[in-house]
Amino acid sequence: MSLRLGAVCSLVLASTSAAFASDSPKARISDDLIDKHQAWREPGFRLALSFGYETNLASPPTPASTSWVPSLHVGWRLTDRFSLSSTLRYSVMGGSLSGLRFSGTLEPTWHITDGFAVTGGLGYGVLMGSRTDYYTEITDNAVLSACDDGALVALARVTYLFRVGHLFATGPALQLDSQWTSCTDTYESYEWYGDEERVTEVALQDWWWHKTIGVLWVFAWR
Amino acid sequence: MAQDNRRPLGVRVAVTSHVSLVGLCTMAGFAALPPAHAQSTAGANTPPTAGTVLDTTTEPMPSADALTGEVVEPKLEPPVVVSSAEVVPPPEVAALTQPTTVVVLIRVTAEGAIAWVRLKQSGGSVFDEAVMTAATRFEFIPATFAGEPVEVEIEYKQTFVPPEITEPVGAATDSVLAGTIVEKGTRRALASIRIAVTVDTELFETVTNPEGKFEIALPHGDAVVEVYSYEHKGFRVQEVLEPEQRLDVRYLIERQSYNPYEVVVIGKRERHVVARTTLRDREIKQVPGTFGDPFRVVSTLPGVGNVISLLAYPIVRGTSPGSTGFLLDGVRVPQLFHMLAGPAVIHPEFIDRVDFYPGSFPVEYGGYTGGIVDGITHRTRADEGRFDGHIDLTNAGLFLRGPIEPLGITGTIAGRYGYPGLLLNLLNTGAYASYWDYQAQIDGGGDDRWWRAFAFGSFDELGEVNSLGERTTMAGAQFHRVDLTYFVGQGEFVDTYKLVLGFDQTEADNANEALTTLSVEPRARWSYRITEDVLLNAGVELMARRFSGEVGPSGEAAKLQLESHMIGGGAFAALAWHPAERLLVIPGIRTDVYSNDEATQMGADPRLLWRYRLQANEDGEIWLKGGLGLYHQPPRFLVPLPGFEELALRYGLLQSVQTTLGVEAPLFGDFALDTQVYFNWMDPILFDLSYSVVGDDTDSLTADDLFQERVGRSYGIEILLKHHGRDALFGWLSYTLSWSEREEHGQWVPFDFDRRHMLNLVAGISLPRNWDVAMRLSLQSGRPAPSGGRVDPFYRIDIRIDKRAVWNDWLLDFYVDIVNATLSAERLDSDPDSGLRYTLPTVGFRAVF
Repeated sequence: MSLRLGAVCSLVLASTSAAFASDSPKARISDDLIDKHQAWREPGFRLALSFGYETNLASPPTPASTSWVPSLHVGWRLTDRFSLSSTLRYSVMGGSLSGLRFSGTLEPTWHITDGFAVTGGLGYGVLMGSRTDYYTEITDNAVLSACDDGALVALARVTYLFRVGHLFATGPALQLDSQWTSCTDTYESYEWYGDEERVTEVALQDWWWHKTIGVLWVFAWR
Repeated sequence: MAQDNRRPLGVRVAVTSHVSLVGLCTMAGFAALPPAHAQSTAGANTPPTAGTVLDTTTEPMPSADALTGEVVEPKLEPPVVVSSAEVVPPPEVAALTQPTTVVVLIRVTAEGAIAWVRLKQSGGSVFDEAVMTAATRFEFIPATFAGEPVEVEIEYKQTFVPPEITEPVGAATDSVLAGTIVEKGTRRALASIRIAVTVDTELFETVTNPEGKFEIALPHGDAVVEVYSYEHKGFRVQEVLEPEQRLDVRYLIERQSYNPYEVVVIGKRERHVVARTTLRDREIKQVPGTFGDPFRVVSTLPGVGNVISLLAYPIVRGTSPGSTGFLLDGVRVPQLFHMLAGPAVIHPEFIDRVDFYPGSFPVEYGGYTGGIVDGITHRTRADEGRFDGHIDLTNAGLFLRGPIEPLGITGTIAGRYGYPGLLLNLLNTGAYASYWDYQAQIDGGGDDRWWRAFAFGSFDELGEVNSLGERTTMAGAQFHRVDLTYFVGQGEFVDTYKLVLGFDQTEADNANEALTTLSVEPRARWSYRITEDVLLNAGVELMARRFSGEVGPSGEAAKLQLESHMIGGGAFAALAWHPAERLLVIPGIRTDVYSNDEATQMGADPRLLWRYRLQANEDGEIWLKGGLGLYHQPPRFLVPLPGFEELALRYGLLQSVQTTLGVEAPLFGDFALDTQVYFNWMDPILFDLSYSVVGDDTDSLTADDLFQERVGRSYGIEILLKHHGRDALFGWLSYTLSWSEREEHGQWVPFDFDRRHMLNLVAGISLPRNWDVAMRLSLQSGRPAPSGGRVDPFYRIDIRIDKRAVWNDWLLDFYVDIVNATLSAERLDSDPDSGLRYTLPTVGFRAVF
């Protein structure tokens, strides 16, 4: 009884599925009209998001730090060998220096092969950070404990992208960057003159030079 | 853009062109006029300007023929083509299934050169481009009038005809290929699409029917199938046809570009307003830094400043945010934005356009002395269906709309849930926040009578989280509305009858204190054409509110109970009158009454708006415009909050006199310029947004300061340069030069949020492969600092990038929106250390089915 019922059910299902097959044929999209590598060589708009990790090579007075780095890369493929793009990078810093580092750079890129590219860039940055291991005492050798200022940025990057399709590519990148920030911070110095407390504003100024090396994973679209 | 330049074998491309220079020269578009109407804008020795025939100082007189003595009038001779560049047919001609015609206007100078070529009738973008490119290379002998070369405009028409369908003779066909051509992503069946099938070396062609279906008899074998549509990308597949086989297929072809916004043909209606700016489509959904929120876009327009750049509530022409009305279809929304710089409480898919009045708004709007921001929802179509889901770093939402056929109505549900608490946790602030909103709507009816029931509401909560993870709610706000509307009429004559029911509540101190308002607001509006030159608009609004509250320290058994009632109403009437062809005058009067347990207040608002058409040409119309009016409102809290409406009515109504004078003019291409000067006198002002001491010597702001009457004035110049075309580009440049002042001790001092210069540049462009890129630059000078002087100027750059990915049956929108991409510092005081640096990067996904 159960076998017969199962056979009937199978027949019903088979006939039903056959009816659906003829009523709604499977959709087809076009075959590729050009090779995916050729597609990526064509001029046009490019967008990439990358996520990475970098470490700051400490050199006093700049405090050491490590950072998680999400970045946005926007650009235009000019020819099959060259692109011009811009990167907005946001480094969330931790370690001895906590805060946020931003940079915006303009970058020409040389596409050595279909996947391998070399990039160099110059631009502007901002550093908002404070030291977690030090606080400033107003002495002759005072070192800043915080910085919130603009900066000059230079970077270099090598990237290898795997062409997943005509529209998407992904791959690793290695990036080096330098950021020179002119930091100025104002402190209040309290001194007693007899019974009277006097407050003096002291402005400290220093240069912080960040040299970082980082690895990224890039997701690119065209 | 991927190009497929192949053509089917054996196709003969045929192009015909119709050049009717001589005949078309006599058409209305021709700018040469007979001497009786000649106008001259040039002196005797300068070349005639476009559109003129002669310098009237040297106007030739009719002469007598030497042989017959017959009087001969000066004659126009049209330009003569000496060489015409070949119109190169684009490859897309192969995809045509019916003829298409392109008509362009060509201005030929008195030297026979081409001054410009403009599109008059489009036949498709690729065909337009081919014709316009060729037309710029035409060469002419110039037209003459009375023997003198003159500048003229002529029409040139080019028609592209489709190639003939090839049918091989004597081919043996024993198979059938049949199927449907559907657009990828939208599932729209495509009609009149050319299909070419090559089996061995023989070519067979057909065209899809109106349902997108086709059927073609073929010989068996390996077949290459190609589909041609110039609006879509190339398509090619290979099929294997067996003998005596019918092969059913369904092909998905991808459009060249997927515009997220329907191209709506906006008819030209007479404007009965003076200072309104309307934004729609990309202008309200893709402006960077606004999170896709239509109401936030107002901050980029002239006359709008801010408290700080993160907060969405605007300072309009020097007035507090509580003086500007945020409306939905003309009805007040008690809380427009969620807390902590959250999005608007209405899902953006409901909003068709946003109308913004910085001042001089018509009598249809009452109860405000600042500006008006009115989000207008669009009427749903009976067959409209849409599913839209999105998620980003701060909130997720759904929007679902579809016909309910058994009932003959369209239903919509939408909602969002916000989780800014996740970001707050990441920043270890010890705070938490969440919000949600909902909307539900049903529409029904016919063309000239239809109805809508719209329910919407919002909930916000803000509190603290202790080290044990326990939450304490510090503040909460919610509101709920039911809006029932009945429409009668069509076009500009639509009468509306509306009933709005409301519940508002604001809580504090872990819900130990709560203020609640229940409201009923019926209203009606009518339009009636009295004569050909006079249109009457009138309306009545009523309002009844019950306000109750419980305030007191937590833990106290006895709390202070508050209860009061407010009733009110308003009526307005305005005439749109044409005393002359070019002049439109709109006098109107509005009266409002507010009454609660403490007081009854009444305001009468006469207002006069006018528009004068200075000039009309091929670029558009130039208008002078102005307005003068009186505006009243009841006292309101600094920013809109549920349950806080119409406080302290006993102190009287706020009043302002607003004047505006301006000009609208079309410029080059699709750009238009709108310039206004304004002067507003505000007396009295209550609940003025302020952080400075008012009227006494104490260092803190007290309740008496808030309720103290003030006198203010604001004046300035507003400039808006806007692109109105519906092509790849959108954007505008706005600039405001303004002064906002308050009277203190007999002297005028700057308002606490006075900014002398405010500049906004919004620019966006659509790129190939469904990319949209937009940028916003905001630059404003500093406002007065609490400690004296002014804070530093502030600039902000926002970036937004949208990408539409096309799947077989749905579309995925992916966007990146970065607010303050360069982390520029916004100073809160003169002290450089008082800067606020922030950036809000958002990544979002939106699925459209």
